[in-house]
Amino acid sequence: MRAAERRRGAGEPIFRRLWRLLGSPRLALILILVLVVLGLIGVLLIQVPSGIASDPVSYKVWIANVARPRFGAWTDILSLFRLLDVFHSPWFLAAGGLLMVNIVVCIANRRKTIALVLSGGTVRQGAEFFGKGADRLELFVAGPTSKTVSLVSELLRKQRYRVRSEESEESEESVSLAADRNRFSTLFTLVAHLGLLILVLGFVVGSFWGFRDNSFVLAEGSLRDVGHNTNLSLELKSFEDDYWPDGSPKDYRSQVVLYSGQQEVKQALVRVNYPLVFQGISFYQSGFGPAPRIRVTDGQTQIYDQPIPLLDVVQGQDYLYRYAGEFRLADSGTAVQVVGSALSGQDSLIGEDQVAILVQESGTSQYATGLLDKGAPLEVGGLQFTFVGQQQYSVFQVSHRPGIELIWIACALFVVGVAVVFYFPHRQLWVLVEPDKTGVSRVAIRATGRSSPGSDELSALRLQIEEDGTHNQRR
Amino acid sequence: MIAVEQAMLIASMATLGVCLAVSLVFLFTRKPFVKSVTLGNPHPVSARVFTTRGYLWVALLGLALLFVTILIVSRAIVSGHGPFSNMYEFSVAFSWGIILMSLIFMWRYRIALLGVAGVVLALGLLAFASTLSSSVIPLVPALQQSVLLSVHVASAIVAYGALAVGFAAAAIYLAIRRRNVSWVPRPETLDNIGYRAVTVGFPFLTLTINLGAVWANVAWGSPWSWDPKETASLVTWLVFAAYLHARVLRGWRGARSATLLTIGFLAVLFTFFGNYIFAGLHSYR
Repeated sequence: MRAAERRRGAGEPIFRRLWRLLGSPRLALILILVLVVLGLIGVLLIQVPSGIASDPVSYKVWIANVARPRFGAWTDILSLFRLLDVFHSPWFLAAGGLLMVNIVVCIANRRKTIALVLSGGTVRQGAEFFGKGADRLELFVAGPTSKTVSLVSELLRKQRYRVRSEESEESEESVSLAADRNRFSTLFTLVAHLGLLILVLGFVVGSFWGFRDNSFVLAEGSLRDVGHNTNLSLELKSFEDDYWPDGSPKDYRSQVVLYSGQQEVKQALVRVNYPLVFQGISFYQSGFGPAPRIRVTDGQTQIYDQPIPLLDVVQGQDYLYRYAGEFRLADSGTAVQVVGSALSGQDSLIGEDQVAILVQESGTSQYATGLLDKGAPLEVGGLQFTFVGQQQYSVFQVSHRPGIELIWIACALFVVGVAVVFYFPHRQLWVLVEPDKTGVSRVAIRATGRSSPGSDELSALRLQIEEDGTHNQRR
Repeated sequence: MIAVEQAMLIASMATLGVCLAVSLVFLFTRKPFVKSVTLGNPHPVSARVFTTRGYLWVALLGLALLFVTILIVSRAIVSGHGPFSNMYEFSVAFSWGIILMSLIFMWRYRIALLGVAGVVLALGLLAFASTLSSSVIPLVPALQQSVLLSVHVASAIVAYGALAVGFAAAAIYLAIRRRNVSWVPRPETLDNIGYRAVTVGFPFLTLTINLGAVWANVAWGSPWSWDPKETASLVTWLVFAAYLHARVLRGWRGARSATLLTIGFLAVLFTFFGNYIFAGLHSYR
């Protein structure tokens, strides 16, 4: 049969051959297994975070700091084959894209099959049909065929089967029945696959026309433009955090104001699970940390006064981990590093109400350090620094995902489609009732259908037919 | 309540242990749980029914299910949320799903071996749970969304339970296919049950992933972020999708489809225990 297929393939026009290849179940299987392998790679090898992959410089830093210590000499090969960003690799996109094409072709090819399933197909089947297949049975019922036919049809109708009957051309006594159940289930195969297509479409739309900013950092009291051609800016009024007794975070929330241009458009309390959404752009609470407010004066003039988000964690020579941040003075270009008290444990160097600073003038390698007490000005490197007070910063994820509605519609279609296909499986039965010996009719039944429940259902049917048959006889 | 919980963990493990011991004893003494009887007249059909000791065994397994149910409920009363915050709670819930599903399939198909396989898996998970800290840990903010999360995890448990039964059928199939063993069901029956179990579990697996996407969009700002646990569940889903397509469209039966089903369940276990293997957003212990 394979050889015959191949021969048929040889004479076909190229387009038809390609079409058949693209719509073949074998291709679908191969593609799914390729995606499985790529997925496993994506789980087992650490993947480059989404924001970093698109920026060559940070990608290099990531490779050097994260990937190389893990993979050593393999790093370059893994990176070359895009296995550290496998879900954006050509392999993954090609396999996924081809699978979508495969689904479209399969749907197109199924038109006739679906029409056949919905109509129910031919009623009458030949005698040899009833002699084949695993799911069949033969039984003899007392009584004329007409009575047996109505008995069987009634039983099947009770079990939600649609029953169609046809008498034989040769003899009125021989009757064929075709019964089917859940024929609309076949349409839901389409619904599920369509859902999958729309789902992928939704993700593609989102990744082409949307944007995503994973670390939109705002210190308390500061205002920042959202960017991405939105004309929006967000201000963090205040930030609060609560903790469970064991020290893990219980809740954290940001009181924010959103501006469009100069116009205030929305005030909101943003918490985990409760984002601020405005015109399809969402602001999610994702993290927080300390932001000591530092004031810098040069003689009598104040040149800087802002909270500095301590976004980094540094390890000191005393092995303690501390938060650290950096800012630059606009005029002179002087860089200032700010280090807070230790994350945990006793810190003998930098106390709770202190920050350490390291001031480096632009273009020189000279630096000066100082330890600032809260509220007490200190001269470091020719400038006066004041640790005004401890504030906090809040991190938001800002995302705009056009097509998210498509994704939800697709999810619904997908889940409903899959559920109907498997919980209301399509089932077909063919029955032939013909006269046997005097007063007895012979009933042959054959079932087909994807999820044939073995002989269970047919055995039950046989018992019922026999029971009803004897019952009728007694009556 | 915590005392109740502890007692129930011990009681359910003890009951499952007794179930296992009893089934082994009856296995070696060749006393069946299920017997064939003939029904129908004048053309008899054979049917399989439980023997009295079979019924008692099912009742014992039902008792174990009851204990695990009480364990989960009493814990929910203490913690104020469903079993979704750490591996202890997941493992107990997973074993609940396995016992429930193996009871249902055992009852439906009258195959005691499915129940025994379920007992082994559930006992293993409860033993694993008993080694973990059972203290109630407070929820981090992302997990404080109880309705969505409860449905997400409940659906995962039903799916995993059904897929575990499918795996049991496939494993028994692979073990006996070349031998003629009188006391196990026919290979075709096992093959069929494996498929039926997947058709029960697969829609729930689909629902789990989709609900996960809905929740991820609320909590993390994106329906899908290729987090290792997400990806692992997608891989699991793809393996079962491959199984279904191979079976329905390419007619795979027997050893090939049983192997694929086994790989699928290994993927389930990988996803389930993945928290220990990879980091990521689902990184609770």
